[in-house]
Amino acid sequence: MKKISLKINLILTIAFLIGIYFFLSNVNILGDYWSRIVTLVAIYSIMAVSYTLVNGITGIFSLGQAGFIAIGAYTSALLTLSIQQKEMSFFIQPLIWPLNSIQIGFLPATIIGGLVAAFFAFLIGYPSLRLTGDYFAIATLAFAEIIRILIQNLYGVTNGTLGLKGINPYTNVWWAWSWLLVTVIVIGSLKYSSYGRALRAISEDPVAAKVMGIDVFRHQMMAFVISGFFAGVSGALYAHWITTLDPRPTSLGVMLTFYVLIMIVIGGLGSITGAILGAIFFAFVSQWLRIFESNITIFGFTIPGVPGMSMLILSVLFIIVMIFWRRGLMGKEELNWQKIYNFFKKVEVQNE
Amino acid sequence: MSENVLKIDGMTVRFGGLTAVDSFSMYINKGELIGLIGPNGAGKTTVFNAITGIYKPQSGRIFFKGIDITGQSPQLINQIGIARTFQNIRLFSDMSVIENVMVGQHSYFTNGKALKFLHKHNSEYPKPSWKPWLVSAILKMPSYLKVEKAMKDKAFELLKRMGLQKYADYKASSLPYGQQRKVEIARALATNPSLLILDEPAAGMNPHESEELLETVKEIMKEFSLTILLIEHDMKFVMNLCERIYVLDYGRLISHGSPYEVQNDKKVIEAYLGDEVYA
Repeated sequence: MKKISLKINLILTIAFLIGIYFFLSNVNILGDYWSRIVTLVAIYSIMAVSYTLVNGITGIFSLGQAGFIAIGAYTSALLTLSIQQKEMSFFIQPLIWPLNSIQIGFLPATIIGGLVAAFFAFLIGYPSLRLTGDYFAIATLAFAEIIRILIQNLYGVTNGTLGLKGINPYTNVWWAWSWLLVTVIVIGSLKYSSYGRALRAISEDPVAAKVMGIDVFRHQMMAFVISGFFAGVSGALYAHWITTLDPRPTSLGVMLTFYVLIMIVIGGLGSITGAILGAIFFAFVSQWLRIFESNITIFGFTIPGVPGMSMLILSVLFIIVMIFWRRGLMGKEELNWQKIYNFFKKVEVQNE
Repeated sequence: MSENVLKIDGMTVRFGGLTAVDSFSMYINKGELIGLIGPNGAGKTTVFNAITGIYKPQSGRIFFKGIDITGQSPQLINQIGIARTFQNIRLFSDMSVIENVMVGQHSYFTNGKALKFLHKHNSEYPKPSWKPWLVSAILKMPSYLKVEKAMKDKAFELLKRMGLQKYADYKASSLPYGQQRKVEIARALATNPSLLILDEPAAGMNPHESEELLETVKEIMKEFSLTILLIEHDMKFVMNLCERIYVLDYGRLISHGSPYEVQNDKKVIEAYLGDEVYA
């Protein structure tokens, strides 16, 4: 098969980005509902790409992603909420100083949300990265749950179970997709650097990596903190997309971790493009499957809608994907023009 | 005066109640090629694991170039100059051959701790200077790209040295067994060792391959001015190659000397073939 040269690769990539740009600038044609979904796709993609850095590339099985997303969401929301809105929402217990008297812009709030999440990733990673395998997964799961329960009970900071309301809907298509671009560039660049090689080596054989002079703990920590930062950013975008936050397990709790896990497992653990494909798949399919939750009429028969039905069907789909693509859609590989070219060449050959 | 590259003083390694290595002592001079032999389960690999920091010995000291390295982490021990291969090949099987070798060079970016350790023990070693390598790696800054290119060139050079250049872009796991062993040696060499530890380098090779490897080991030893310690079951390999041999049995040193001396040591023969009474 023909090999695609670097020049053509570059041209195709630029063309692709321009295509995305035109798609996004005309996304309003699809209507408000779909343009919101397109934004959500980018937010999910950031969650998935940051998660795949830890679970795929570094190969440590963390279940704490939702905790970092929640921290980013709450931090940024508390920073951008107007002072009047804060006074109105916090009626059980007033918001503590300095948070009650500041309001900053969306971009700094997002970055601070990411940094706070990264700081928590450091605090959580420091003790729990001494564990390996399933023990690490359980520890991070527990830490994420601790974060959620703290949010639920710290009325003076997070407004507890009442949640935050009236968050400015700053997140639009451009914010979300620009942050996605930043995420992909940073994590992609990391993956294809010497550090990325070290991370992949750790994921395959930590003992051999150590003996090759790689400080496994510090590299895992680095991946965990970078992942935490982008998880926090995605949380900030999510907060300003959905405009209300509450600490239920189904919104920012363990369910969210599992959703993101589904995305990256479908896409292929360790693949950045796979994570994005998984996020797109998840966002659209979970929207489409909503029809099963309302009444459906087929040939005069009415099938009553069952709440939660969409999740059931999604899990069946998930199992099917796992049967046919055992390593996810992309495995550890990235989708590139060469692969697309080869794919179409193959189809062409089969048709002839 | 010959300098001790490695010196082990009364090292004991226990796993629970089992004493795997019992007050074992040895020394290796610069430029020597030393063999460590013994029946299965004698504790040879445990000695290697203790030297490279994977196990911490319960008692005894390990010195590398006169610096006490007992209980240090494997990465630090590697960065100050001890590299090893594994008995059961442990390549990064999903990565390409050249990437495997380049992983061995990664510690160039992160060797601050090791340099500090060396500087603390001997001020002749340079003081570490910290550079934000991670940031320049993500931003692909020229300073990083330059190092990356040098790494790739060196990795390719090493592969060429081991006769593996045509496999550079192959997945490591797709190579035949004997070639994988060579990749492991190339990867170990990439870490710039002064002491190379080979754990059964010729295991699973046919006589022709193992003879070839014997030549390669001799050559790289001169080329990279290495000191080598190896475990090997292939007696022909060991007797031809090694200057001195240590024999372990049940975690104890039972014999030590030139190949000729060891071959004729009664204890060694007993360990391998059994006691005369039962024979």
